[in-house]
Amino acid sequence: MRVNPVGTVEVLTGSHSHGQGHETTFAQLVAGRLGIPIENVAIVHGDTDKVQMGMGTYGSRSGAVGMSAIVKALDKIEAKAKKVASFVLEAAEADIDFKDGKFSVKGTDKSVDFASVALQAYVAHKFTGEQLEPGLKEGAFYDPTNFTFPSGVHIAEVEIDPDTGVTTIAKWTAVDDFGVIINPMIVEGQVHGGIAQGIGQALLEGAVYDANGQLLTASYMDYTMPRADDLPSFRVDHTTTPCPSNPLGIKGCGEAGAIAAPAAVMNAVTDALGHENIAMPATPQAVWLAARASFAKAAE
Amino acid sequence: MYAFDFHRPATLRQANSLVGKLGDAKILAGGQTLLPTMKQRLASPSAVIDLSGVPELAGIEQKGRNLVIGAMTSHAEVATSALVTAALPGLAALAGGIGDPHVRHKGTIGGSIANNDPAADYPAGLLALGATIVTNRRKMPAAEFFTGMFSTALDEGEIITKVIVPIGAKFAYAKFRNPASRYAMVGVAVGKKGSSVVVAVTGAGSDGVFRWTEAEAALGKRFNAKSLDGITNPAAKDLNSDIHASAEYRSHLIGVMARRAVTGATAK
Amino acid sequence: MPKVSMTVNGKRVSADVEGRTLLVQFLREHQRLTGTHVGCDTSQCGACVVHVDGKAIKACTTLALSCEGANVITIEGVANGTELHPMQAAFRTHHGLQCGFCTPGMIMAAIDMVNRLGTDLSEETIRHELEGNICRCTGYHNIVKAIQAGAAAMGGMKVAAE
Repeated sequence: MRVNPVGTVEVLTGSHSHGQGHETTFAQLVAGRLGIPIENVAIVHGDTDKVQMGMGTYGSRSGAVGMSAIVKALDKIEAKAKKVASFVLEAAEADIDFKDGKFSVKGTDKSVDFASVALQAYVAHKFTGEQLEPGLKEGAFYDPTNFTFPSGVHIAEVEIDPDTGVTTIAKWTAVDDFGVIINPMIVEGQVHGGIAQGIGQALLEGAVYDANGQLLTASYMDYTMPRADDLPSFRVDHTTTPCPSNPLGIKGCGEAGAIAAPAAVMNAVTDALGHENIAMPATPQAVWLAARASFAKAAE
Repeated sequence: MYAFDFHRPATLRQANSLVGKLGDAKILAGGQTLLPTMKQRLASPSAVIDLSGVPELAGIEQKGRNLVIGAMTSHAEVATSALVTAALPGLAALAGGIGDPHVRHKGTIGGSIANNDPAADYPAGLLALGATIVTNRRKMPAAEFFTGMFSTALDEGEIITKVIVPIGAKFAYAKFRNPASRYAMVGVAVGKKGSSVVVAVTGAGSDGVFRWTEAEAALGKRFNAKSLDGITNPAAKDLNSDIHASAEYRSHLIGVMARRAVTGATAK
Repeated sequence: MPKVSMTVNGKRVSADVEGRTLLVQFLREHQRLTGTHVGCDTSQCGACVVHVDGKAIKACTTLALSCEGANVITIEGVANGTELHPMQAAFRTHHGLQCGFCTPGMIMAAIDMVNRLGTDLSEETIRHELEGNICRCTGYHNIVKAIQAGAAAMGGMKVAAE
């Protein structure tokens, strides 16, 4: 985490973003903590020329692990900045408070803003090199103490056309507990995408090979990608039970939709069919065959 | 895509002379099937003659009891044409259900029928409507034009110029889409004019579009979806089977889509 | 090699191309307008959608030479300087994109949708009209919301201009 002398911040992170919105969420975290505008925070990722080490984004870990490392770096930045501020404000370090982007001396109206402290950290006019090493730049690594355990309930309501076997998702309701949420819009976006992928897995998507190992579903002419009219809008909500194993109380959210959706869809489909003799993907043909078996059983 | 020489005539006359001159040439209409085929190197013509610059080939007009649709008229134009919507709403709906909005802006009626893809929508529709296909050389009824999977009665160098569709029929088309490609996995067009009923099936036949004569006979007696109860669906042995649908499933869907088409044709 | 000329985002451009050069190659490689994407390359995904003479088409399934004299608008041509087009702004506001790969095609398709069907679009209409555009990230939820809002904003824009 590099604080520039003008008070802008550059965060180099090994958590790569390819659409999960780290640039927004991580910047929100840093801006909120340091009391600076979000535009003043740059998130740098995915460039091996700049970022020393990273293992990508997977396992719903960028919030819980990547942001925990950012929190640790922020702790170090704040601690160092307090030292700088104590020289600028000519007060004991223990008497320095940091709130809303301002360092102040307890019980006085003396204060200095974050950007001024950043500048003083580099120009080092208020302290000597023996008292404090100049600069405001910290790094942190974070190894989680445990997994996170998000939980939730997804309810799929489906309608099956017995003539054709077409399954329609009539309504989707999901409530998840992802612990503390930094950006609800982005978290909901992750859930939407996960649900769509899970519905795709349950009803549409399948890689089919012939006897010679030739992939038969090699283009969208044969591989059924979910399209907008295959899906409903989703009703998504959350409860908040902070995670005990990381400093922000965050749980993973990226995979929740894709984990819950196949089970919810297939439970709904088998509930409608009255038996469980059907595999994913429950394509119209598969559902039609399974429904015929249901009718035959009902007629017995 | 392999390299080819590109020609874009401005008149039908120029197009005629080009097809005469160039041996191994493909005619490009909307290109929504030809270009993907060429990209996959399943076709590699040495020359392509693009008809998109020939204005006389596009447009829709009503002449007496017929709609005359230029070969280069796009699916979007047919789908939104006031003339087609008023005279044959089922045909407008068929055109409006081909591909997606972007494909419909490019794809043309002439290109669609010249290719006669076994999963295309127009062949079934035009068969059921008793349409006439007009080329630069002759006229022929749709029933003679579509000769089998990807094959038509078109000769070398023959260019479709327009399609004449008689109006006044009760007509609807019901399609069950392939969930992946959205082409017709089974499409049934039903047309009734006077006492004559045509039931044309696309997407399902192993040799392209075909007529379901048993259904036609039953519907000729009474034009109601219930008339199809008790009729045996086309035999699975003559139908396509692939990873999306077995022949048995297609056979079943023909019955379902035919009923929906009849219901659609009688609604109003 | 034959030469093709067209108007792209209001600018007259021309280049020598092969017969087989696709419109999307002409835009990306000859004009360096890389906002138009190539996704599936089999005419399914819609990442390559641009407007040709006012209509949305798939630039991966159109020859450059077929567009001689045409008026082409790409995603680079919809904003008014640094001010986003209302549809772009709506995608941003409503989180209508995640990885962003499908976004140029989605926005061009959405503007075309409004041009054809008006500014008051139902969810059902939008979902149906998006048949030619695939998104893997968003589950379409926020795309549908963004298009609905963007369409309404385009309506407001027209009213303001009148």
